[in-house]
Amino acid sequence: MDVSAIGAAAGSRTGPGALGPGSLEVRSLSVRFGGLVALDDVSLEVPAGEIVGIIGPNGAGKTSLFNVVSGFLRPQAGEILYGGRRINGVRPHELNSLGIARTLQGLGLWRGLTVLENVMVGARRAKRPGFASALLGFSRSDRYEAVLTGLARDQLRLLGIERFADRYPGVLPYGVQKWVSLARALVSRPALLLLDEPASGLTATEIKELADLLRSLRAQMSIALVEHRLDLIMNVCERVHVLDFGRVIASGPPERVQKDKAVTDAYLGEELTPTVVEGEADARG
Amino acid sequence: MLGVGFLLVAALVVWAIDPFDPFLVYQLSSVCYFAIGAAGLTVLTGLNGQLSLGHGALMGIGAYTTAVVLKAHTDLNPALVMGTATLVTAVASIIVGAAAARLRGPYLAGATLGLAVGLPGVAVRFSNIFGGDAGTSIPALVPPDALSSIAPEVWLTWIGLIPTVITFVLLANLVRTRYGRDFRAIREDEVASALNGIRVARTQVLAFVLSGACAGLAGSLLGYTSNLAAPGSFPLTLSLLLLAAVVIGGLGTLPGAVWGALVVVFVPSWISSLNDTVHLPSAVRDQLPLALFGAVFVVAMLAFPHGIQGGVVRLWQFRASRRRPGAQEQAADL
Repeated sequence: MDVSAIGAAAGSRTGPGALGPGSLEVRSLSVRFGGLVALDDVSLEVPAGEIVGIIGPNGAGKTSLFNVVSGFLRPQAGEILYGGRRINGVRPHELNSLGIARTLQGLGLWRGLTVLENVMVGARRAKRPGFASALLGFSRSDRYEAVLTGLARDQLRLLGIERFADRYPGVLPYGVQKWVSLARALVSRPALLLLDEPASGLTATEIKELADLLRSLRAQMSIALVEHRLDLIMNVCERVHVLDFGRVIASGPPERVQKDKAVTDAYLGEELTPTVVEGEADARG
Repeated sequence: MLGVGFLLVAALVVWAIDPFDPFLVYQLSSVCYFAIGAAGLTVLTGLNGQLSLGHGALMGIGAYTTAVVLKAHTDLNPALVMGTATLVTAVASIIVGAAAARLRGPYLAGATLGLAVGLPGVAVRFSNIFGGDAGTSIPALVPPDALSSIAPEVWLTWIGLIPTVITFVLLANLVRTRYGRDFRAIREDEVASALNGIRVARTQVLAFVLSGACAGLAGSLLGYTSNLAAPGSFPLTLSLLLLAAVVIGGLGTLPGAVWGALVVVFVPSWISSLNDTVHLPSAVRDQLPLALFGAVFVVAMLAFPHGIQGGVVRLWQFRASRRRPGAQEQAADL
């Protein structure tokens, strides 16, 4: 498959701004499952403070890319740079303290925990009391709990879902559950946010709200957005990378990528109209 | 607050039983060790989602540690003995827990089942240390001279309540902090847990060790109660009975562990005494208690799918909702 002209141009661009705190860059990443190539020499970047869309047909390797960056998959070749620092071999549980948050396609909310508790787990902080302190019920442990509760409530209020704090996620409308999963990711104040299909299953109004939210976050963090809904991508992204069969086939501003011949061949016409039904199939249970 | 409440109730219970019914007193000691063991298991299985069929064997480690320690130092303070038993079992649980953290569902059940079946064999194999099939005796706890008017069994119940209350206070503290949330988060979704900074395997081992420590303490108390650590005291049925107590009491709730302990101790004896009052052919009479016990469990689980504690909570909310409209919906969330 041809790498388009803009793709090649954007792929080689590495300015100093690209390596700022919270930026993500992958270089020549390759992942194979046996004979199946999931990612083939993928290079792309999410510059600090930008919203970058990653699009492509089903099975193009978008989620595999996220899985590599978050340490669930080991790449056979290539480098992952976060804020200019190599993070190959990072373990998933280390992301939180590195300042990387990721949402899941199926949301992955804990159904046996209230909304508030879900967000409190996301709000872990480096200085936390140890096991003995928690066991013996020391006031240090109580204060820590109070801090977490405060952080979580603030985040819920910020997203306008504080009234659901004491409910269980399973009984809430899907749109609210999405907001809860966003709250859980945002409460840790990440420098890099990886969003896996945040718009799937949302109504048009909710997608507009999501776009507004993402734009308001841009000052605080870099965002990588895997998404099928092109309306959201066009609305918020500065730059888009298009994956197909594990390769980057185009990169650039969304309006240019949209007109790219390779992209229309590979992509358009197939996934333009994902429906609410598909989004609900994504949700667990 | 919760701890003070437990202490008050415990003191009340002891005061109420002081008027000496040796059998009742013995049963209350049994409730103590069952409650401790069930509390540990409910944290592991109910909160963290790891099924263990081997906690009876872990109780055996606690009881044998108690016996071996007391053989060497007959007059050692029971607090020290129980502490040692708890610690030794906790250390043993690190090994089991590390293996368990790699296993899921039926595989974990199978592995812990192997523990329950295999561990009593170890006691038989090393009979010079553990006394073989006959087991090792554990000297009875006797009250100090100043309190010599108290019968040893009653004294044992007094003593047994102390570790029970301590265990419940500590676990209640723990489950309402981030550890409790992390345990539950892992039960629900491991991938999401890791992405939110929880060290999944390490936390699973921690849960296993915590619950193993409880089993060790329970086993030590069982040893003191029965004055014996023998392979026959820790059959597979003990593990299953613990699990039954946890489930019927209300999986994942600490009060449920107490309910469950009360059920597995008192219901069989009620059934037995009931059985003795009716005249049935001996072939039927001998098997009836077990069958009735099973039937009670089935009926109870049908009536209270979330265990006794679940039923209590529901009843509480139902009462509340009649006073305050709108609370009904909250109850439905559970």
